Amino acid sequence: MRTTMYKKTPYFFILPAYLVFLVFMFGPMVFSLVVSFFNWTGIKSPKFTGMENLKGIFTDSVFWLSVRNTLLYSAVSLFIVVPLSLLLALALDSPHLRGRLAVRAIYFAPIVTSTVAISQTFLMLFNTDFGLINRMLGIPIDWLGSRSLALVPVLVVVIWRWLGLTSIYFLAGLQGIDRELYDAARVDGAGTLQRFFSVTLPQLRPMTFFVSMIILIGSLQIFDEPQILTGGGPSNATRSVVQYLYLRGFTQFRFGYASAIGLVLFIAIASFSAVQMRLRKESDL
Amino acid sequence: MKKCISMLLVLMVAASLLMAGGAKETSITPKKGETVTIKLWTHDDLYRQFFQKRIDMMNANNKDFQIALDAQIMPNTITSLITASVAGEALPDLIGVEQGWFPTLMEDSNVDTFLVDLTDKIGDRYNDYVQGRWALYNYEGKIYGLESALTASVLYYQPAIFEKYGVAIPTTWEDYIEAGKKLAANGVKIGVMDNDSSGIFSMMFLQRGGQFFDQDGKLVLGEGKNREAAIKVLDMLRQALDANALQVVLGNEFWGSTIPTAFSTGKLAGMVAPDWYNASVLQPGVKSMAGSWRVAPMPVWKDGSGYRTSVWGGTGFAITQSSKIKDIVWDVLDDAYMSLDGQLDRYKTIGFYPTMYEALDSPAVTEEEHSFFGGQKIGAVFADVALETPPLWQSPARPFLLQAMVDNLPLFIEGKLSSGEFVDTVVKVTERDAKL
Amino acid sequence: MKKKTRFSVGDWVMNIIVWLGGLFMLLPFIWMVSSSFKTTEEIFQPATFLPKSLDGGNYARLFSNWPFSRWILNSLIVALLTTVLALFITSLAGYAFAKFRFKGRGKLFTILLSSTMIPFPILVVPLFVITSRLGMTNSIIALVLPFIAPPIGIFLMNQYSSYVPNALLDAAKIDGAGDIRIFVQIALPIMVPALASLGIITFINSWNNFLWPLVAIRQELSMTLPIGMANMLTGVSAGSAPPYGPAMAASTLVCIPTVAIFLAVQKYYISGLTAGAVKQ
Repeated sequence: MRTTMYKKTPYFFILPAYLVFLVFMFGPMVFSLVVSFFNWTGIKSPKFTGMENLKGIFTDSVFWLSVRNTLLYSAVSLFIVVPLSLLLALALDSPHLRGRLAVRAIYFAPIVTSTVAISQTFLMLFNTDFGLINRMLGIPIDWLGSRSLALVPVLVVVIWRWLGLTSIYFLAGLQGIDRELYDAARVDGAGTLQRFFSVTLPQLRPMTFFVSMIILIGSLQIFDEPQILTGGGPSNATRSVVQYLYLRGFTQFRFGYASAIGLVLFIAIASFSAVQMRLRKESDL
Repeated sequence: MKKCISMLLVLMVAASLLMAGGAKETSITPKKGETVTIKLWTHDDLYRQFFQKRIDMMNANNKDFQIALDAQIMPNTITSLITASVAGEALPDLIGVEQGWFPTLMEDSNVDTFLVDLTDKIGDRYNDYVQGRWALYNYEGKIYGLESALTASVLYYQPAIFEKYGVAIPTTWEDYIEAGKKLAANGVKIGVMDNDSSGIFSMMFLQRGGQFFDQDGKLVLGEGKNREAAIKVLDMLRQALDANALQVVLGNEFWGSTIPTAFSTGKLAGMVAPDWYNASVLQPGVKSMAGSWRVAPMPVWKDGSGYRTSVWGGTGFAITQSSKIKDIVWDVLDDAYMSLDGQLDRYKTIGFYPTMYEALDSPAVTEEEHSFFGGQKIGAVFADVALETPPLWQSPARPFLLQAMVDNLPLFIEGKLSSGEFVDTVVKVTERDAKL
Repeated sequence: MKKKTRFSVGDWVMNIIVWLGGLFMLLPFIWMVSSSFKTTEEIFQPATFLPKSLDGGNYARLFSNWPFSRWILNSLIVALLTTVLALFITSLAGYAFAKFRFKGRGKLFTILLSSTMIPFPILVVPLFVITSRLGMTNSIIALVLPFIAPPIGIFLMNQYSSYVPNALLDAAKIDGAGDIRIFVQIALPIMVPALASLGIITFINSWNNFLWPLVAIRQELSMTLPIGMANMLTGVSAGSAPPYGPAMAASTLVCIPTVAIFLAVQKYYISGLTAGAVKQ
């Protein structure tokens, strides 16, 4: 009798997590995939339309614009934030850094701030008339109203928020590097810079890859910052894919079309995630 | 195992999708001494204040029962109405529908599901009110909402600036452009253009006699007279933009500091805007400039086409189908929004111009001297042009039209799209999106 | 042991760059707080950086013109509830996967963790439909439930559970203790660091959550802080310019709890974040 009770216990332990998973994650995901093939405004019954939504998306110039914007956010995150955060991590790891505690606080605190609060602050900083940026530059640049420049405030916020986060990972990675490797290199006559390239970078490769994946997947889903700063405008110049999903789904009540956009996003992200998991498994061997 | 669960889930939800919400409402007659609560949903507290005031007055004279007002403020009453209905949550009795939201209900003929047809209750009194305002909440010839504001547009201007540069106050758009050029040569702008909202363009387009949709909700922007009107307006805006005569502002900066600052530093001579602009933005923004402003009728077209004024915005109040006290709500709405006393009270309390001709012509409106405008009786200006308020016909496709205009106006302003290209692009995108 | 070498030119440069960058990082905070004490005229005038005097007017207006204290309450309840439930659910699951042998354990674990691959934005539409049909819109429950089984949480708990010595567990079993008692009295105390980490991360994420509450909450009184704040600047109401001052006051107040918590217990937050990244 006792043994059968023990056999059932783990299932009860994992049951709550599984319930939440099925009802609030897996179930909705399947639902979203299904609705992608329907037209539905939420009030009356949905209408099956097959590939119409997907076809619509692929000929939708606003969708492609949102893809371009999102890829730009990702590119900046990957090619500007990641290298900068590595440098920051190196600095934090260095014994010659003055005021380490303060530096950590200053660079890490942005991670936990509310995206709304920060975006609204930057909204004011970039304001054409009374914004600090324009005052320091001396010229009234219309940041948020210009199709070409509106991306700048958003990118600045992205960099500001993510710098600390990625450097935390690099710092952990740096601290995990075996000191003996450095000693060996020093014995071989390698200078600081050489040691960086021959020991640090190679040892950080797994972490760099891991961080890049996190940043990439995170930035592909960006919503809060451009939504508050520009609402996606002007003329969709800053609209991200998730913002477009929100526009179609919750401003215009096109649930089918919005779900189809979600489907495309999901395929993109799932592919990256799968690649990441695959490569990690391989590197573990 | 999990495949089964997920299938079950999908089936469950799918099944519930097929269930449409249908509320069976029965009318309640209040007993003597009872208090009836009217639930109001609106996006602006000012309306709550006004209705509360009228209800207090009604309660004072009502020996049979009392009315209590339970108001909730929310950013978008219609999306809340729809989601609450789908969720089976409590719905309001009285709802304030901003005119931009009404089209959301027009899809799938949902208007009748949610709102009560007020046409019969309005009856013959239809003609006593500014005709154009009925169109905003019109569906298939039936009226579902009572408008709160006239929203007639006029020219607000600073006479000192015009005098300083020797420019006459323009009465036609052609003169407006010339005046704009002269002022621009002196570094002053004559008016405003919004970058990513279609307010200014729509206002001028409607004044010219153009319509986006016909009475059946069909998109007619791209056809005949409407297309011509749109191009004519855009060409004129193009001239003004090229001459640097207009201050270009972002949609949400419209309500911000840019314009008031330009006003007070003498860099912006005035603005063509609706009646509510005065109370909502102008006066609060430039309190210190009291006395140095005047109001003139909106410029008209030299060839005489179009109306003498235009419209912009508006909020209509409607009664919900789910309400159990429709008659009582109508009594309140009738008093507050259709009686002469109510219209004048609304003007006094909220500052929106009346939509009832009799109210507009009353001395309370036409004879009032506004100190901000140097004692000018601006009410008379509004009353004068009110007869020529254009309608704005709605359509379920309107939200898509608005988005299409918002997306393409920056391109037009930059010069990447010509007037004709703008119209054609907007039409094409709207037609495409509306079908989704 | 790392020898403390001389302070080279490179080190000077590094310090300067880091601190200059630090100024850039601090700028928004400084601006946010100082603007919160400025009057509307001061904000619009390009002249002043720091406020002339500490004018608490924005804070007063914040609480009188908007249901800000209600928003604080909502955010607090949602964050606390989410955190408590998440800790409970993930610790149970993580422990079970680590310490029990049962059929399908590997597969079930992988499937549960696969939820990391589901980007939240694609769930927004169906979650909205589900919560609508269940009549849960505008409710605290709707904001809590989707987030109480976070995959990182399960991963973290699973990892920490493996540190619980089996010897202890076996001893307790021999003494006749039930599974639940063993979990609560023996495993949980050892898992406290993980609970702390996950708790802090979950609380902060819930406090700052924007997209889902934006979709699920449509009424002013039910809003959480981020939604309320966003609404302050976009809700057009007759009579005034955008309330930048109160918005900055709100922003300041909203950031204080999370930044304070973070600075106080950085260690836990960071170890929670890096748990999956660094090989232990």
